[in-house]
Amino acid sequence: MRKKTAILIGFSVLGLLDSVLSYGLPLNFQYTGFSILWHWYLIGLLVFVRDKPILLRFLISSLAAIAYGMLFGSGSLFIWVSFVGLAVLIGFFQNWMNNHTRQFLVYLLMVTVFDLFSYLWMRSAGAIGVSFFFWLYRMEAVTIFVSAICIVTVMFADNVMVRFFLIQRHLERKHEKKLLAKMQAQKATEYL
Amino acid sequence: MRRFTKLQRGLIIANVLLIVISCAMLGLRQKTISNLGYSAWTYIKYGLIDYPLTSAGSMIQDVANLWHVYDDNEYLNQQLADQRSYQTLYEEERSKNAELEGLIEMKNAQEAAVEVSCRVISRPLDAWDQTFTISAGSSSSIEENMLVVSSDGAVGLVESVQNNTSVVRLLSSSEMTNDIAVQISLEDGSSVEGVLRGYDARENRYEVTLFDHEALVSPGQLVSTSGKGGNYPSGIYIGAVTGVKMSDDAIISTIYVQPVKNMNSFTYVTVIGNGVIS
Repeated sequence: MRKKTAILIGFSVLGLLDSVLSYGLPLNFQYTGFSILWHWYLIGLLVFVRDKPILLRFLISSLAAIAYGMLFGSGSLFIWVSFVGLAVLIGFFQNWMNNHTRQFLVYLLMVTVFDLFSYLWMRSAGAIGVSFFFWLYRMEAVTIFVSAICIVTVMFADNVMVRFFLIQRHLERKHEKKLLAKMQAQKATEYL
Repeated sequence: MRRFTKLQRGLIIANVLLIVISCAMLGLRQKTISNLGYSAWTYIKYGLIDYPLTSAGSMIQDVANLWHVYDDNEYLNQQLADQRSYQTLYEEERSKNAELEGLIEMKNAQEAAVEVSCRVISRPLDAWDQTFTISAGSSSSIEENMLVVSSDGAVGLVESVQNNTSVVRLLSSSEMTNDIAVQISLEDGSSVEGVLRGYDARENRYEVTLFDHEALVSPGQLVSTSGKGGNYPSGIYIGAVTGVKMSDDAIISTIYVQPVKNMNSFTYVTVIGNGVIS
């Protein structure tokens, strides 16, 4: 499988996961029970762009945000601003994220910041009226826990994909070397 | 000026393209003339994502509802089965109540007699019209040849007595050895006496031999114990006259008496005898 195809399929699956899970477990806007905000797509994006240069991070996250807005979300400006902002921001932690634990913590922080940002955005727009601590308790408590599981899953999938493409590339190079050696031997025979 | 790589150029083009499409969609949404374009995209999105998701959700909900309906059905079936049991139990208890009320009335009418109320504890199927066992014996002052009555009237005689139980021979039994002295109250205030000789199972009636062949006995008259002979008092209801038969010599006439109604089914009985409870 080509790497670009795998990336596209991966993002589509993550976006669908968000949609399906949001549909299956809808948010309780009356705040009479706990709710979960699903962030598979955002986590996948952050994992994918964390080690890219800033311009690439910007372009990829912008494209991902527009596509997400068109296909899975409401297409609002909020998604674009937050996705691009977080993707650009995560690059500054690149040097510090030198092990899995730190990577996990940064992803969790980013997801929490995204939720916090969405709360402030909706609060300023008058779409939400509950207090911050009540929102934190009802909306964010379970979300953080579930997001932690999502992060671990996506990190694992990312590791598997990286190794898979590494092995694939290694095999291709080996095959190319063999072909080159064969061609050189053929040329030498012709020359003699 | 810095040159973009191939990937960056591709991403910029894709971004611009998507932004243009998004803007076009937003613009199209505002204009009625362009509703077709907007609707096309909406239908694609609806067909590819929203509708499958909604259908899957509806299916899950339907299955869940079906499961609930199944549970409800099971519960209602159980309730219905219980209801049938309750109805049967209710009928049984009502029958017992009626029996006990009848026995109380009879007990109040027999002030001078020994009366022991008890329960039928066994009535074997193979001797349903012959004997049954009651839950009172010699410890309750039960003696042989005492009369056993149900709520409707006399049904048998005590045949044998144990400590806490007694075996009762039904009046309908073909093996009843002791005759029962009976009397029929006549319309003129006098009474005619006789003896209950046996039971005709085919016709479901007692055969009573009268001592007075000139007595005017007619169907419907009530037959009761006379208290002469046996270990029981007089006035216990035996049955009602259904027919009269005169013998050839016209000295002794036989009358037919219909037994009490609940001869085949009773749960509580009273044993009545002469004397006092020890």
